[in-house]
Amino acid sequence: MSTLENPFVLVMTGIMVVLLLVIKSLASLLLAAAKRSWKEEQRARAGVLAAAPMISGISDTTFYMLVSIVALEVLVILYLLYNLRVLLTEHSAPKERKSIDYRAIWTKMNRFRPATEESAIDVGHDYDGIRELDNKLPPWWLYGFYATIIFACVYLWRYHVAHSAPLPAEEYRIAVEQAEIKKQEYLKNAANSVDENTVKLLTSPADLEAGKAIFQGTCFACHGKNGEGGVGPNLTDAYWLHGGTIQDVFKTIKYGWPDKGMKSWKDDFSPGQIAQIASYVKSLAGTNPPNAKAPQGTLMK
Amino acid sequence: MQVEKFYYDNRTVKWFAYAVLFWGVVGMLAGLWAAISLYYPAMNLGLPATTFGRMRPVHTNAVIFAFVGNGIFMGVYYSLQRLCKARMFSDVLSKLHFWGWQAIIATGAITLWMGKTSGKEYAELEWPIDIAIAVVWIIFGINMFGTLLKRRERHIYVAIWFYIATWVTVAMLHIVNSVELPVTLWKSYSWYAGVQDALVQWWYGHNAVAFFLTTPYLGLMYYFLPKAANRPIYSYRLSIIHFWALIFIYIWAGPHHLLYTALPDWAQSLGVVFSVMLIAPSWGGMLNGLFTLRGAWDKVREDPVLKFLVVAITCYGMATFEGPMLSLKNVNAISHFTDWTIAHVHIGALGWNGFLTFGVLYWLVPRMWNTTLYSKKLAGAHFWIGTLGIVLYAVPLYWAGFTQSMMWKSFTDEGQLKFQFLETVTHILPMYIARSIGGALYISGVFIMIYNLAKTAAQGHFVANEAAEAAALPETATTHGRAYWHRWIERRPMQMLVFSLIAVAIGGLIELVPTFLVKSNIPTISSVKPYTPLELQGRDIYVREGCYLCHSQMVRPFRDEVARYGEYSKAGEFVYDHPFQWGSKRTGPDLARVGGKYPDSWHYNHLLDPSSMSPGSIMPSYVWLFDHEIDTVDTYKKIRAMQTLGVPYPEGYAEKANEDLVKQEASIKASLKADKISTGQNKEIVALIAYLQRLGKDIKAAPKEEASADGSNVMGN
Repeated sequence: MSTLENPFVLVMTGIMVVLLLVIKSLASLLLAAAKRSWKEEQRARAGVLAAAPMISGISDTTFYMLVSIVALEVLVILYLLYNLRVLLTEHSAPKERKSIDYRAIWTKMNRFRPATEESAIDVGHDYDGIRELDNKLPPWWLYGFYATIIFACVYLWRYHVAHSAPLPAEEYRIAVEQAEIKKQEYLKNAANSVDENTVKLLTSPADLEAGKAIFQGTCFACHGKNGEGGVGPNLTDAYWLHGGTIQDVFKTIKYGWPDKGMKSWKDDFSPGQIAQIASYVKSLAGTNPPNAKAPQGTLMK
Repeated sequence: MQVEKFYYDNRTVKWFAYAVLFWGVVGMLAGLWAAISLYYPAMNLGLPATTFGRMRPVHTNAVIFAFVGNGIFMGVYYSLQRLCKARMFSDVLSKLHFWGWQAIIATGAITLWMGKTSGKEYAELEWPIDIAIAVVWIIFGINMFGTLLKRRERHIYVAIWFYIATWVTVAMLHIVNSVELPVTLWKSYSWYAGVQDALVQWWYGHNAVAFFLTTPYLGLMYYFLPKAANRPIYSYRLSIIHFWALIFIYIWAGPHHLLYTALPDWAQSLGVVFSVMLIAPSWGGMLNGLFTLRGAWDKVREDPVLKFLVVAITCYGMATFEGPMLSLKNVNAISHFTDWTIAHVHIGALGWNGFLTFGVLYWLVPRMWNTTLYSKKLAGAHFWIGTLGIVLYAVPLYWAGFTQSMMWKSFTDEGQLKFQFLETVTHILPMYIARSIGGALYISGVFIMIYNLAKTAAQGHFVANEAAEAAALPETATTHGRAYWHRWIERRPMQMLVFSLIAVAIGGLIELVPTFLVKSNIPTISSVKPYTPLELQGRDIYVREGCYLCHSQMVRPFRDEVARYGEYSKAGEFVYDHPFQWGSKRTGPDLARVGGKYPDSWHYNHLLDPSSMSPGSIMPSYVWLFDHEIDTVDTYKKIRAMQTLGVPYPEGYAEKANEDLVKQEASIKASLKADKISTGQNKEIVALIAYLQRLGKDIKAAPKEEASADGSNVMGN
């Protein structure tokens, strides 16, 4: 029977192919992110303030960490591949090696002793027929263990003695500060920077359509599909709880009235989007939808 | 030297093997059910018992304590007798152990389906069952140590070191974590609160992985792998070093489940560094297993037992490498609360525990029935389907976890969150479907195995008492070759027990004691007040329905989480939470700050029909909350219990508690009425709304400096 027909070999190959595909896509995702961030950095360099090194929303240390994990997983796969190769070549006679002898390196790495010397390292135990050898610890394993212990000491030292690495609260403060810098820089150049003082009623069909889309995907849960009200008040009548001008409605959406059950949406939608929603809400006036909720608040003309 | 004749008890092993198969199927089907519920919420058929929140604990408990648990006992009862050259200490204790354990599992499954839960992950069973577990565990211990004492082999083999460490550590973990105050027959409150409860719980939870899923199975590997391969163990000294290093280091790693939470920073850091140091000791086991196969790889191609064992060990190696990686803070920030963790644990559960169990079964059954395996081909098919199942299970979930986390963290250029929470859920539903297909494949493999084993048993003849003979234990030990210092303890099982206990107690004590005794670890917040009686009743419903299995209550200090949920969580907020409800997976959004975010009527409609308020939601409808009534008679007992646990209700408050309950209920009913919703007296839904509306409210009333102070600075000052 050819080893290629062996289901075990097939399964091992299958696993490796799938893992490789996953790693490949993960890697390309990260590379794409890196490319984008490089472009962004070029752009940021033009500005006065340089934002901290970020790669697609994750810090560069995280990015390199992920890359190294991928690399390590590749190593694991290579090891599996090696095993597979051993399985495949078991029957054929050992060929003469021209290039690097990986098997010799592997043997050396693990300080393997040839099978013929096995009796010399048999410790003479016999537990229900199980014998034990006294092979030396694989050096790479032992030094790896030492390395993690050193890592642990350095880690604790940096975080809790030298304070040269940020603890979670500090990390959070830094992240928010950097995000704020980036945001301000963006808004400086963007036409999107309306607020409750500068907002104007939008009337173009495109804006109202965009507002409607958000409304029917989010606001309808409380205010009804057509703004007729439900959990929240009716938006189609002329009565308003918190003012009915475009500025008022913009403000209500932006900051919310948390004690009355209206949440703030400023972290969910951009100022431009909030202006679109507010304009769409204003456009609902007098549409008289069915099942309208009774008026609440004061009459505004 | 006189040779003694005796018989090995195979009957107990056989019963445990049957239990493995039976509970394996139950547990895996429960898992498949839960997996399907995630994209098909109506899967619960409108019944409370079959919602995800109750099915998931049934799944985890059945797979861990019933499938793997019985697997441990099956393997231990088989190998221990042979390694000690002695029959088990007492047939009566073996019987008590077997039936006691099955009774615990059956009661556990039924009570979990009924919603009787302590609300602590992997320790959900209520206090009467906790006591029964302790009793049966002690019976197991007596039987094991009794056998060790009458052994005919002077030294104990490495497999038994692992069994001993398992026994003593699981006893310690179970007892410490299960300290709880009974309120009624099937209801108790954890003795610990908030941050402390979380630390104890994950010290337990992580080490249940270590000492229930890992060390006993390493012991089984050390027996069955060399037997099946007929090769000597690669390195005795590696056994010694990796055993002691593993049990000493493992116990410290629990806090890596609580990175970026309100747990004190120093404890989080200990969790990180000990997890990293755990790689080598874990891999020591893998290397000793794989290298034992040197010179036997040609057998691996032929023998189904070895195939299963090799993939099991490989999965063990991958999972124990990934674990420390997930403990690094910046990786954890992405992986935690997502499906990444779920994929990770299933590599361990399906690959390591599942495949090792299958390998052992394929090895044991033909031998105990004195025959050969019915079909190698079917075993090969099982191997193939099972492996495919694991890959199909894990890969989509890795992808889902990574994708969802990235979506959570995405901001637009204007600084807004790019995705609503629900979008991040609906986006990964295809991955959930793929995963349930992987799970279904894995289970079909198990059915093939059951058929194969049944056929094997049918063609053989069961040997209930297997004859064996061995020389009586000689007075003095003789050693061939070099005598290691470690041989001393290998002759003394009781000393082995004591030293193992010392090794595992150190890490636990150093992490737990300061968190309990040093006040600065949990700075109090004066505006945080005990729950009102109605909220307390609502909280018990929240626990009963297993809401914490999909909703976290822990806002981590990340920009996206603060933007999405509000100010990040502080240690002082949870001081009255018996038990804590931080959760470990965010299938739904975090609820730590949900109080006041929506009107009462929103919650009412949402619990009645989640998709009416959140279209596309995968939460099931909780219709029964609208009919069931809370038991106001228990209010008294609950307040009294909380007072015993140190929650500062005024003296004599328990008697008047129901007055406040009625008042609060009336106010919620009035607010529902304003939105045209009327509801009856004492309905559970009102209590649950009261609890949800309370979440995160106290800290908003706190003075600024106090609210922003948290335990993180303690180490620095």
